[in-house]
Amino acid sequence: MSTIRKNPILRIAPPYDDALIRYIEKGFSDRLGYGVQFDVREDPSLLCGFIAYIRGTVYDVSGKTQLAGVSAYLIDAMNAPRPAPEPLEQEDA
Amino acid sequence: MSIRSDVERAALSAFLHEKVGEYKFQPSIYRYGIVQSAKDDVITIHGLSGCRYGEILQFDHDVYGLVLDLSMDTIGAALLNSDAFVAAGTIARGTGRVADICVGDSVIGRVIDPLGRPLDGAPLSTVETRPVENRAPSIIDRAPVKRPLETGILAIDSMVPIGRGQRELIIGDRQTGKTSIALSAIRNQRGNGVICIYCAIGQKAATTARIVHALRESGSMEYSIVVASSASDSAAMQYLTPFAGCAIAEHFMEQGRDVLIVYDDLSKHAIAYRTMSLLLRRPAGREAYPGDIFYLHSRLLERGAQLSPARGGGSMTVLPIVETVGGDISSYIPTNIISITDGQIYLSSDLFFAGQRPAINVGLSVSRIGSSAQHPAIKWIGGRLRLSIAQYRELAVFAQFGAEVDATTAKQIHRGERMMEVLKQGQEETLSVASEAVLLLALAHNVFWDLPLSEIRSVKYALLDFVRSACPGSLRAIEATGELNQEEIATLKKAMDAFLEGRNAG
Repeated sequence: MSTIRKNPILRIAPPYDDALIRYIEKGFSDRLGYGVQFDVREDPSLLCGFIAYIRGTVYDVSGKTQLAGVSAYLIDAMNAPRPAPEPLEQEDA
Repeated sequence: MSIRSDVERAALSAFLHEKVGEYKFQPSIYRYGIVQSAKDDVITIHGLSGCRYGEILQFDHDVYGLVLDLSMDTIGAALLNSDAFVAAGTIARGTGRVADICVGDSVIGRVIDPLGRPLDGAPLSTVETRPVENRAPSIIDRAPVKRPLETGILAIDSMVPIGRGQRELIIGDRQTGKTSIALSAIRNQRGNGVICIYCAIGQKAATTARIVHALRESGSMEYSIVVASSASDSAAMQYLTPFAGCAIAEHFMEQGRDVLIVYDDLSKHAIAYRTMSLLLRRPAGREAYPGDIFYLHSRLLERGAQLSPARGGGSMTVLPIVETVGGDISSYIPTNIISITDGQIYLSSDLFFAGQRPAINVGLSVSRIGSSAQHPAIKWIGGRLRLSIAQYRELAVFAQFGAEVDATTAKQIHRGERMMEVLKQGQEETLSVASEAVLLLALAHNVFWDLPLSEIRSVKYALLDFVRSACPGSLRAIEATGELNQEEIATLKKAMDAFLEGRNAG
């Protein structure tokens, strides 16, 4: 049986430093009510932001996911019926 | 989307700016589990404790899985597509939704997979989805099967008639024409307002392509949907295929429309389910199938129904196909499905190789409820046909050994041979109700009695052409009412006599 990861994991896009990690850990500790100490993994594919895996829940605030969300939102908006554009005003000759 | 002018470009730019402004950036929070093991498309996941049975899981690289096993610490899931990116340690995300399929009129004419992804190269935009697993209509929601569903095949419409809302099994060895019968039934629904769904379960991709091509060629794709999983798809995809097709059919049925659905075939479906069950370490029963294999098919086939007028009066006619080995209909899966359905059409390889197409074995075929839905015209004339053919088949066995037979038996064999010839139909040849009634009346009227067997096929079509031109009013009346009164019988018999006279004179 493979080892189950129990420690919270933080996938984060560079650049980052220890102070930023401590700040994120404190934010989660305050919100969740227990101490959180991350196993940090750098992940440039996230573009910016981070993804935290804590006790069976994912907190995803990465740029990659947000862009995917914008993309899906725009595709839905494009596919939805919308009024035809009004013609531009003709300039006087 | 093509942008044709500056006006459109400016409008699109403004529209996108506006929409981006509207978009609310917020964190994405969801439950996750970690893959413990992945083998043969079946994975075990630790975590995801609130997961539901049948929920869709998402992995990286757009890989999806279907939850099929829940236990205290782990869940078992089957992968729906390539497992190349799923390894121990991979994160699995619960989507919170059970497996569903896109439904609606935009799916008609399309070829899709069980997840609703188009397989015919064109984009598919649908707004409505429906879970693939649903409860079958309750007793109170159902109405008796009373309306016929014409297959255009004389042997079926006259001897094993199918009603709208009926479940009629097509069973036989490989290469005996099971799929051809189903496709003929689909082809014959042109102009009848029946939506047809063909579910290809674990078939060769080339076979499915050939079927789609045949449906397109005959113009049947205009009212048909193909839900396909190929032999190279995962067992879970093959397992989902008939349920996805059924969900689409239910959508139309609940709108008050009539649907014909073909499951081709449930033997492969049972094998796919057995594969998944064994990999999920469920206890194996008879022929290594899991204990719930009967329930798997009964809950699928019970969804076929004729709904009551209060529920819209729609219907779902089901034609499941089962392949037998060596003509053995008493093996596990065939007996299960025979007991669930409302009858079966048994195709015999002996008859097939003897040139009888469709190779329907009348003795082993039955329609338990179809006769109440049969057109009165066909029921009245063809009532004794089934018995006569069964008797002929018994007598023919003696005759083939060259045994001397009495005059009565010889007459029966002579008549039986002609009946069998008249029942022969080409693969893409379907008959209207009126044409079927005329042929049955011609048999009763002994039109083919003096003809050599080799000529019967051509004479059959010549007779139909003659009757069509001689008494079009009678044929129109049969088509409209499905009934045949004494006056029309007399008119048709007169036309047949005239046809024979003309033929003898010529």
